[in-house]
Amino acid sequence: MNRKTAYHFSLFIGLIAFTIVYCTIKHLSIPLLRYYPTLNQWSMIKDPDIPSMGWYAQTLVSLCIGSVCGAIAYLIGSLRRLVSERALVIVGWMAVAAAGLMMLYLFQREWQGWIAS
Amino acid sequence: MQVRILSCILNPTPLLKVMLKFLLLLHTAAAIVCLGSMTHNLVIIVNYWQGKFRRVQLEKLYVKVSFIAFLCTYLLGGLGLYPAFRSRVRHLYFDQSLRWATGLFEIKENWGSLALAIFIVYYLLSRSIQPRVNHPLTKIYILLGVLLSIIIWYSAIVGFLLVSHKSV
Repeated sequence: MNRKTAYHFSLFIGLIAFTIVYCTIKHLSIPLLRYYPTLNQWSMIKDPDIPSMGWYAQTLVSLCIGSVCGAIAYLIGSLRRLVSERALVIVGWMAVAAAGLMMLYLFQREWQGWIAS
Repeated sequence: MQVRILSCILNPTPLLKVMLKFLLLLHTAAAIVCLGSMTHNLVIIVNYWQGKFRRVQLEKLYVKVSFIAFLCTYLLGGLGLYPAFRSRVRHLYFDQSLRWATGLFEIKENWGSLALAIFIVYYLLSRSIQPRVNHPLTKIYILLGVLLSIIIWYSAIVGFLLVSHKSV
């Protein structure tokens, strides 16, 4: 695996990790830091009576974990010949599938929660 | 948690209202640039699927422009407008009487974050691969571009629709 292949491999792994983490946080409602715009305060506690925004932390955590996974994949890929060209393509298709499935999941979730209810 | 409602958020001063409208205008302008360049990009990459590799450099320029425009749109919307929208528009208006609007916005918000991750990958791929026949990553690149275009078109349409009901 040359450096360029490792680089592409790391991009796809990062994207897959992002989608998994983002969906897991959403699906399991994992508590994260929330911003309360009417109070101008940050808190880990979710108060359903006050409008709050957990989206910042959700996006940031997913991006950070995705970046770390991508960096690890790059280090492993560039140090050792573990991943072939064929495996790179498979991981690339998996990244496309993960992104597409995440879109469908989020659409279905919000549709059920807000539009169909 | 200390409950101390900031009155300036729920009842903004005229100056804050003007600033929010200005931010909304910038957000819309950046979104239009992103939409236009990404659609031009899509027209070129669809030809890649058919084996026609023309205007490759132009396509890479479109990716660069749309990526910068997307980041501007995302930051203006996420950091500048979202807190005011969340408290004044969504909480007081959409959540109470237009739940479908909140649903459409939630999809836009979550797809927007996904688009950020896809766009980073797409932009870095565009800088490092040379699309050509039998390049193993060309079809993956095309599909990522299609997904991005779907998200950007959806976000733009929903954005215009929601603003037509109530804006910040």
